[in-house]
Amino acid sequence: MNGLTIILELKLMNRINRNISLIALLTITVGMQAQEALKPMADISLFKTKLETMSKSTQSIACDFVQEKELVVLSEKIVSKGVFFFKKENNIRWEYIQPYRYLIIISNGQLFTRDDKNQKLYDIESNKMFQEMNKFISGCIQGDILKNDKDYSAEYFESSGNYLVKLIPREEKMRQMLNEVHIWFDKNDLTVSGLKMVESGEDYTKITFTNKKLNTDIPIEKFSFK
Amino acid sequence: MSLFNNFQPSELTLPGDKDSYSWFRQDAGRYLFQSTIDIYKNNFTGLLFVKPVGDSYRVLFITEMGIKIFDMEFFGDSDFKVHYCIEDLNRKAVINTLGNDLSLMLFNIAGKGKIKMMREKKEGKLIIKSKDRFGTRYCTMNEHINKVEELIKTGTFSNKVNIKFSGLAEPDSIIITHYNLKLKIQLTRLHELAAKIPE
Repeated sequence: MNGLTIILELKLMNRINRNISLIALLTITVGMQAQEALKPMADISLFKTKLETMSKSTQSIACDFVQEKELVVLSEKIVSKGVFFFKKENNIRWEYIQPYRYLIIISNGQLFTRDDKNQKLYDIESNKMFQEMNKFISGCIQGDILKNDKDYSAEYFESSGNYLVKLIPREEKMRQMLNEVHIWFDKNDLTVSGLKMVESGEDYTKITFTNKKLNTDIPIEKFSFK
Repeated sequence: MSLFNNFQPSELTLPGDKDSYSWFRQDAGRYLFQSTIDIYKNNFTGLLFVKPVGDSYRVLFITEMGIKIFDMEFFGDSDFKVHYCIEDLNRKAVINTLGNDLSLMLFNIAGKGKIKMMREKKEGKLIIKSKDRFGTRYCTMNEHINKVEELIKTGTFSNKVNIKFSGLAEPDSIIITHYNLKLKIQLTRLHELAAKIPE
């Protein structure tokens, strides 16, 4: 076994792992409801206008989330829970509480992660992938996520209570990890109610957002790296 | 073997099936660990999921946010199959090292060949020595619970590996280290009951 090869490979793996987290992060701010009868969206431009209006008026979001990782072939599900905070301009706190603790904060051009053993700080500007992600996230919140047709093709649906947008990555390499991203928006307030990341194969991750509170006063300390 | 020059051969024979010493029971539902991998100055984290399926084990590594990194299946006799691996990680050296480490973690005592029992002179601990085509394994036993508390594997063509297990009846913590490679895998068991039922 060549040790050096392994080190090089694992360095690569580290970078990839970071990128994967980013891909997952891209979709944090968006968010799914029980299966409802879907039909193609009747008025896409109306939806986009409503979304833009909503994002402009949203100063902050606080909510709980439940993440369900479905391993379809093994008939197993891994459930984790946590809390999410967003505050304008671009502060995000994504925190897993059960059954593991894992924290991600994006603020002031930096990305911070922490678990029980380690914490890490990345400079978003130093990494093209981070920059892309940051652009994507703020794009989501500002409502122009759906204008990014360079990286994703989008399909629009609606049910009685939700809008659904399916994003399909254009890049082949990205699609090997992430086939589709489904984003559910609540028809009443246009907040994201769910998110589904479908992997190649049948496995997927579903995140449901509940107890959403808009425009409450979230102390900036929530986004400090500690 | 210089690591174990302090032992004397034991007359004991292996009581029961060799697989009964494994921390991963075939009849268990599943095991979930929070995982940290350190390689030189790099560190990355995720969840390691272990599920017994018949006589084999399915092991998946997933990021905290749910993205699957790899999915492998482990059979006895150091055999494993890669069901899925993200493209950039799918390199022989990495897969072999991870696969061999995880196989050792699941199947502690080698399947074929002679098994020798010995006692360490200093503390009188029972050591089970076994061999397969990849090398020799020395398992130091915790006789109170009949589980392996430390496993050392040596081999001509492979890295020397040490695995430390702790827990009462279930594996609470597992640490895998390499002697000539700065690679360390730390697993801490997650207790899922509280999160299993979404409100």
